[in-house]
Amino acid sequence: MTAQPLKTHRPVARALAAVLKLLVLLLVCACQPATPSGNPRTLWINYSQREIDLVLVDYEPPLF
Amino acid sequence: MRVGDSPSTIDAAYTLREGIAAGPWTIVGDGIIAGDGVTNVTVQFEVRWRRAGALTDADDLVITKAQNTFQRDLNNKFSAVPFKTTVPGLAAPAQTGDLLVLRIVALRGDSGAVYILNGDGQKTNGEIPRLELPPASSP
Repeated sequence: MTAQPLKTHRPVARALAAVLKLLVLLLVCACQPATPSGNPRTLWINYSQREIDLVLVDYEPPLF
Repeated sequence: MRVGDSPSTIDAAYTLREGIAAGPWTIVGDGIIAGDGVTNVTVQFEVRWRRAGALTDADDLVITKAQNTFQRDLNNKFSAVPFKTTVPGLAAPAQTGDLLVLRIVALRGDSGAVYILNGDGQKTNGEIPRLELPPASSP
């Protein structure tokens, strides 16, 4: 006796797979940063290459 | 940066996305003061608008500025000396790609005085220097 796929479950499996794909797609979209518009409210000083080569960045930098 | 020595001026720039409204700017300029026997140094902070592609600072608009005399605590020589102020600033009708430049100038102080931006943040009981821009104007 060989195992047979449960044909009656295929539609449910397909639906679940579709829902999973949709969830993954939504998650990926949600993780994309929005296109930045407008200036940030805070700019921190950060080193670029060396101590006298400074830049302003829109995130709090690690200690430098 | 050292008073009367190279460099006594440092610029840090950011590429703007839009213009800046007139309003209050908060400047945080915590620094470490160094140098043998040094007790004070006066530093100026200037916020400038520079058009994209400008080759010099000749046409910069100084949006706002502030200066402070940092008094070093000789009992805590390596602690940050705090400086935080809020000053009014002009509007800058900048375009995307123009630069916002923070210029820091060591103006005067004890001989050999050195001002170092406090990149150590809370480790030296201070904050990482920063600018807080005025809120964008209403459309």
